[in-house]
Amino acid sequence: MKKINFKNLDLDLFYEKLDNGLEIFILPKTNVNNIYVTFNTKYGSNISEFKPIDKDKMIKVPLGIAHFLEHKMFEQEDNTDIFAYYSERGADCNANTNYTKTTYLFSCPNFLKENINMLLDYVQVPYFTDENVDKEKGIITQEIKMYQDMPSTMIYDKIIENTFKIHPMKHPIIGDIENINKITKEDLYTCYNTFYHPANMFIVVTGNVDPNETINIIKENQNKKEFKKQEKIKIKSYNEPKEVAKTNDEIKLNVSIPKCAICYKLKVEKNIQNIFYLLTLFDCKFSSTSEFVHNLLEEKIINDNLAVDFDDSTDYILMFVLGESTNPQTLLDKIKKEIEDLNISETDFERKKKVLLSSIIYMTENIFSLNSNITNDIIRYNKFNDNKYNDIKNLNYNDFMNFIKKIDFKNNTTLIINPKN
Amino acid sequence: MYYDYSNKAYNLHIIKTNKFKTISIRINFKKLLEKKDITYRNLLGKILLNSNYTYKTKRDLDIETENLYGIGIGCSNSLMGNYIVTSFNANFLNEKYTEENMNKKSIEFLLSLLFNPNIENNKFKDFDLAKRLVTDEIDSLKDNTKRYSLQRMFEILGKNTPLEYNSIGYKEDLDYDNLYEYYKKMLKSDLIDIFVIGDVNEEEIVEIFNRNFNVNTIKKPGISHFVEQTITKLNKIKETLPIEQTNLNIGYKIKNLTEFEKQYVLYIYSFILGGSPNSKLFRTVREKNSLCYSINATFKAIYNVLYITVGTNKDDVKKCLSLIKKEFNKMGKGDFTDNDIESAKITYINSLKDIDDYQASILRMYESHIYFNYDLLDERIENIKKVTKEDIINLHKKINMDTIFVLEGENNEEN
Repeated sequence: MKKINFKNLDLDLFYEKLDNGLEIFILPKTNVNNIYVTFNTKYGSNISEFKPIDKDKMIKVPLGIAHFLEHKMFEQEDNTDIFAYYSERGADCNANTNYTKTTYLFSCPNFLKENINMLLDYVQVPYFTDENVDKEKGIITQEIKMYQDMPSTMIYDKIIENTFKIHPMKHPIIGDIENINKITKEDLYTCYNTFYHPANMFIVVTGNVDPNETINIIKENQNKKEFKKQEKIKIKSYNEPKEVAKTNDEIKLNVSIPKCAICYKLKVEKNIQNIFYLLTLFDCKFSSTSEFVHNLLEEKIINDNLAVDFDDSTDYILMFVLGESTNPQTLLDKIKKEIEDLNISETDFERKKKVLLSSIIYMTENIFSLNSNITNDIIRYNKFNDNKYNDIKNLNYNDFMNFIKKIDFKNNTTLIINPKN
Repeated sequence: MYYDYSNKAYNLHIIKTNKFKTISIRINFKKLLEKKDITYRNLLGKILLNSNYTYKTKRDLDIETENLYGIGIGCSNSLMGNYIVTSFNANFLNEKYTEENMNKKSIEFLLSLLFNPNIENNKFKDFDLAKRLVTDEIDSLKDNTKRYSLQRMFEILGKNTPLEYNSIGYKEDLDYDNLYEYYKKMLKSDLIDIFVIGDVNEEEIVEIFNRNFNVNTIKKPGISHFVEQTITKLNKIKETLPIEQTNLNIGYKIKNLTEFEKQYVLYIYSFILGGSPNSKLFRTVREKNSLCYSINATFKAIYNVLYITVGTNKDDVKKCLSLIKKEFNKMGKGDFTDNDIESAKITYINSLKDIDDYQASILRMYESHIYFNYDLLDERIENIKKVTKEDIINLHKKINMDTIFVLEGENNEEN
């Protein structure tokens, strides 16, 4: 077991890689009661073409299958009800799927050994039948419809669809009703057998635990199980063009006030420094502390703040700006113009940096934020960054200015959302 | 460690703990609810957090929050039965992690928003901006269909009681010329509770509030928060919106709850019925019949109501309803196991342990202790263990179905 110190944050992370390839990250925080455990596979909706284990040919699976598989992992051959098991121990148990990973999780201040064993056991033993696969189609259809009634989800789905030309990220994580209805138990086994091998998975534990005890529980469980050695998984790579698929679009949703969004598709090297620089730039330009937003409020183009978001699930970094306006086209035109003006003062830069540093301390107060911070590092960079605090401290204004000057902000797509009525 | 520094004008509650790197403050203004208060106070919160005497624009003010190491500030209005509670909140890093004197500076900043507003000719300078924002919020109430359909259900279920109000506001109350006077009255006549939690020096905190919290009027506590319900005949109402999924909400009124039932039995009851993925409703309606993705039973003890929400197909509403009624009736027949009761109890106890991990939830616990006379942590753990099967069956007798509200799509394509 390796001990990694979280620099400047008085926290230690314990790491071990088991013989079967499973990686374990444990961050003890003894001043809280609760414990949060996530069991993650590096498999999300962005993987739709791959070479199944023990097969020679690439195959294409139905859209939404990673999420469907997540639902079906809760089925057990002996009819054990996973939800009942965790409920009896007062634990919260759940799972979620995104573009790049699937996570199975529980949080509970006690019964650590039983809870971890159950988590490992139910995720490592699949049980799919025609009947239980069929049953899930009705449930997921309702989940799809629930999202269709959530404008915020639909906006992201649409603008991401318009951003990518060929990459599977253009499709919603959940898939669509047509694809969901095509899924068979054989498809599920194929995906399961390929992506749920311990070598493709990792566990992150945060909260009130003893690292040695926790590692031993996991080791003991894994030592009882046999796994065939897994070769590197072959996943189709996409030569996604740098241009967006569609430069502008308009849709109608159940909203009362028109909304708009812009997504910049940026080809920049993916590292913590560049991501911070991009976030700082967009924050300086489009948050409530900017002159730009101040003027928009004065001119009554907007009534509320703009929102900034980012995504790095592919080789591209996507930066989003979202807003609400009765004049969405004017707002979009102004945003586009504003980002071309790269005049950021050093005072603004240093102030944003100070807030970023504080946010790292806030993050360490919460075992759920800590867990997802570690998980995201593994998914993004394949390793944990123990030096975030200093990385941010070392950001510097000149590097920032040089970096942002090289970015091509011409490559973007805009979306206007009008009310249905 | 809990300290009570109450004086004639306000109650100051300090919870000293070294568990956290941050300090949280919540300043509550509480008054008996009238409908217009909801809109006025929503406007007021937006105005006071938008600018003040020193920081004349939202931009200047937000820059200052960043200078204060990203202090989080907020204002929220909670409808708590017969009262409305307006809370001004701040959360900031303890000065041990920033620089000397920052605790004082941060609290003074929050208080300056409250007491030194941006005024011109005896009116709030930002009134128009706040009005634009609140108008948008009211217009957007329908955008979140789940929340909107629930709100419609409460309007019917809670007709002529404070349950019928939404927490955002009403268009007809937006044109109000005297908000500044209303604000001054709020400072003078509202009941004020201030909560501070973190690794603080309690004397320093008392001193800061003594010096900066300029309110001197004597306040008297009033009637209880709890809203009693009268049983009426069953309401069945259906409405439409251009949406994909049909929302079915069922509201129940509860009569003559005891203190113990309010705090404990009701939790266990709704947990077994529809409070988890292991509940009767989840297992039957979702897992056995594939009729929905989300289904929940929950309650508002202050209003003496319980409610069930489901998202389903238009054509499946009847089937859902009949399954829900069946599962509901089973609760009265004691058709649930000791295991179900034990699961609910341990989930409750574990959620209490979770309360202890977060400053905001610890503050909330003291708040409900003071406002609703609810028990504190240790008593809660002891009392929940006392709930029996008989208690749950007895509670069932007091629960009456009152409202069935269906919000369905206009052109719903079915699968």
